[in-house]
Amino acid sequence: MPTVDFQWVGSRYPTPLATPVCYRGFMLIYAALMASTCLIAGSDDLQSRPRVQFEAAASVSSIAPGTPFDVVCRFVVPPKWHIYWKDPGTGGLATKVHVQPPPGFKVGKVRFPAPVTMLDPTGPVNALDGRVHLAVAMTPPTTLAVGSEIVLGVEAEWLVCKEACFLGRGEATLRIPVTVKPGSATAAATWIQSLPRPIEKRPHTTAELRPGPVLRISGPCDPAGSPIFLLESRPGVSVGDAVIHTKTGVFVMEIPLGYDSGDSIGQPPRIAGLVRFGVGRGDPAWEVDFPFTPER
Amino acid sequence: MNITTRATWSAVIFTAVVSGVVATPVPPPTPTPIPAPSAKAKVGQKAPAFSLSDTDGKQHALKDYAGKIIVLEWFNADCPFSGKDGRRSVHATGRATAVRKQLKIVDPGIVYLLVDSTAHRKTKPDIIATDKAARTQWKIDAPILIDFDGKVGRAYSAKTTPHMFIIDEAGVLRYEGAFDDNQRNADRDDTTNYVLAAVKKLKAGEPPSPSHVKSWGCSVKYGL
Repeated sequence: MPTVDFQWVGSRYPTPLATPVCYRGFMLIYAALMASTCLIAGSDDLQSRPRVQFEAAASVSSIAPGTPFDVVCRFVVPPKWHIYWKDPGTGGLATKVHVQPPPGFKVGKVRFPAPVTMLDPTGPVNALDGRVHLAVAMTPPTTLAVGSEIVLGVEAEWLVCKEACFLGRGEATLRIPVTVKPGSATAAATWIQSLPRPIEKRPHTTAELRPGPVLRISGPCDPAGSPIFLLESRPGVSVGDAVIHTKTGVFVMEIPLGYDSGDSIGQPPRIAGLVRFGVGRGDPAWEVDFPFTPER
Repeated sequence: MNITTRATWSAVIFTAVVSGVVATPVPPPTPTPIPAPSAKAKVGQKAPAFSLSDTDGKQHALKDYAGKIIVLEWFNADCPFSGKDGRRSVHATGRATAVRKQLKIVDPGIVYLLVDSTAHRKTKPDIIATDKAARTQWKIDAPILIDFDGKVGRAYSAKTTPHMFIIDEAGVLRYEGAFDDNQRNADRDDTTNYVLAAVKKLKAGEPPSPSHVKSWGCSVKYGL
């Protein structure tokens, strides 16, 4: 599977974001850390291109007509480097995956893991590092011929950054046999078990739009951490400060929504993002994605 | 009408009526509201003032261009979305040149300035030399202003290269955001350029719509 890295671009020196309220103090520490980094890092180190490993695999060993499965993309990012979430933040480039299916297949949206939110001098950056797994849900047509083999082309594009940044591209081709019933789950299926799922699937949790409009999410707290909302920015959509109440093990999060149709560039109002419990790797995160009607 | 203006006109009308000079006072023209100056750039408010020298040492102040529409483009010669060679570069692909030409047709008096706030791990002479070379290479017929300390970039909250700002004849910021909707594919021929669209709206006497589109590109390489 060819992997090509080229050019440098983007943000550098991102640092894990603590909380917005300690931004100023954080920047002082950040500046000190960066100053020391500048003394240590040589220019050759800045210019060396990291090798991001890219591969794609199906979540099952064989597919069945009409039965959904996932195409899983795996990126292995070298230590201290990162690529970008679907909303990269103030700079950078969202990681893109494109699956070219045979005729009749339905292709779902790309599912991302929860990012690590880091701080660049221009603002927060949503990064992905280490082993990164993205999934694309595929639904084959019911007319697929059993005994045949399908060929899927997968393309990915990413920006990998540490101090300098490089654009990278990867391609993969999957050949998957078609059987009456789906084959066994592959290792790739386990890679995506921890991807965020829709908030509606979280037990005892409700998410609803209320007049305002306000997105109200409530449910049981999680020992991993306090709930926070990470916005996936959409044209024309703005959010106010989330108000979060916690009482007797239940949280209520209310997020005021705004919409400027003039800035929407033709896209309808939708609120999307993640409800996260803790910001550590593997901490629970749930997807939010709702259309809403702005008040006039 | 603010309190001071109202009080002034009340005094004028009172004086005129009492003195019998004007039986029925002519209503004053409605004063154009002047948006308050803003330390941080915000659409709909006065754009932050600046004075920067370009790569040839010539000074450019915002006030020098009063009465004209001004386009500011944040620039970095080493960024492949901005001044570096590549299929995503607005300059290397000729998209920036094309837009400047079209802007001149829409408004022959328009002012187009590039601003470079790059300072990370470079000296000011390095930046000037690199920008001069890029200006020649890409035939950029607009000055590149050097904002080495990043004060202007931070005042405008310039985040990426490119990041575009449009200031109207009254000095009010009317658009900030993306150059166009073509971040990835330079071969597309259905690109929407937000700057051109905004200036056309302004020349038609209408507010730009959109007035903000999230900018894309490299992050601005501010110094620390």
